[in-house]
Amino acid sequence: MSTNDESCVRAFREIGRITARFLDGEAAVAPGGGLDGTSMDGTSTDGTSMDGTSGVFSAPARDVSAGCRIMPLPARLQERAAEVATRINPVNAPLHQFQDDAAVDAPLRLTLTTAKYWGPLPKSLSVSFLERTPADLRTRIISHLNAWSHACGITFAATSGTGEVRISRGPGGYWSYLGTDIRLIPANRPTMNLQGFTMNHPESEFRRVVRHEAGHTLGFPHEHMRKALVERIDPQKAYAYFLQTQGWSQQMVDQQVLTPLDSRSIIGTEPDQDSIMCYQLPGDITRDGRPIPGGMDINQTDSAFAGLIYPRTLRSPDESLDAPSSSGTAVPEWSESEDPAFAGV
Amino acid sequence: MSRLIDIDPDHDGVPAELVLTVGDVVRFNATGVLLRSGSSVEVVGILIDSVVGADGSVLTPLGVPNTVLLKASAPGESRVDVVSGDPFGPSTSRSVLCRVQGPPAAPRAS
Ligand SMILES: [Zn+2]
Repeated sequence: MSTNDESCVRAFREIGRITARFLDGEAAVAPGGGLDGTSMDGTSTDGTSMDGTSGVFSAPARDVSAGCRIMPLPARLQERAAEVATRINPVNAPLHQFQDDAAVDAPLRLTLTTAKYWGPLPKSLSVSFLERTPADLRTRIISHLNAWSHACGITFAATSGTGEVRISRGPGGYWSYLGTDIRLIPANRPTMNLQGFTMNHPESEFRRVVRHEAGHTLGFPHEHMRKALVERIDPQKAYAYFLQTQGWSQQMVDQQVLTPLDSRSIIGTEPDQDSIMCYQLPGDITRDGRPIPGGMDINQTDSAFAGLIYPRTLRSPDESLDAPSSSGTAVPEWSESEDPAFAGV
Repeated sequence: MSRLIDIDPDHDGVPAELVLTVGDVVRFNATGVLLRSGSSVEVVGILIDSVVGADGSVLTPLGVPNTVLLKASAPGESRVDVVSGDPFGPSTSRSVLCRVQGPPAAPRAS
């Protein structure tokens, strides 16, 4: 294990130790199931593993063996936790390394850009639309943003004012700014673009595109930019292909396709070519001639990773995903004098 | 005065022939462009829209290029193919003949 991986383990253990404190005796059973009793490897602490069909954790927690679980932090500690997160480099460390004694039941592969992380507390992001948008389309788009919320603690809620997430359907293709960067975008500008989306678009496109862009808003970069997937691409084939089809220069192909994510800036495990965050790449550019299929919807491993880093803990049992609120911030706290230091990282 | 000419191929289509004046800049909402013939226009760049964030840094969304800039640089004809859609999947290429005229004559001194 590398030094960085050891730092990562220490960081998560420390976060787990801190957060487990307010589970003792009072919050071990969180309402509504969810990720409450889930350890760092995706296995619930009572031994119940991830639901194999829905991709969500369904067993309520009842034991606190502490150590390696992510739970919400008091607000004053979030910044320090984020600081810790940006220092670590766990990209090739399987998450089971964070847990001493539990087996991995589900692979966890998605990637998070740590500097854009929203933090572990459940939260609701407000959503508005820049152009005049029919109510049924607004509802449909937001329901697809909330596809992530079935597994994690971030929800999206419509607002009639200026949203934190601002969606345009104007020209420019499909894109989103990454994670907390959306807070830096001028209020009159979109943070997400869904060019030309209407109710006539097939449901499959809502799943593929809207859910992918929502993933960026959560802080997830492109999975096909992971080193292992980039290494499947033949540079000479890629240069020729994109020159012929798009007129892209070699430098542009390097930037768009051949430069992997900086492993120091991300947290994640194995790359996942079926992730919703992975583009479909044609076989014309791969070394073995086989395409990288890319994701058409949030898959089980996407859900598991999202739920791990954005736990749904302390969500009220009657809180509807269709009408999320900000109640997830009502987290019990301990006194500031009791805060331990983030030692060693 | 030179002009900025904005064309959204997927919405507006593209004209078969575009008459420009030296100094004009054409902006296409597109992912790529291929200069097929001529040298009267130059490709300024294949770019992605970005903004200046509240912290003063330039922020770029995650997405593919969405802007092609051409500049009319010399009198003559050039043919370009403007590409839009998904660079990794289905895309559409549209051919445009750019006919570039010389700059307007300077006003004569009285
Ligand atoms: Zn993307």
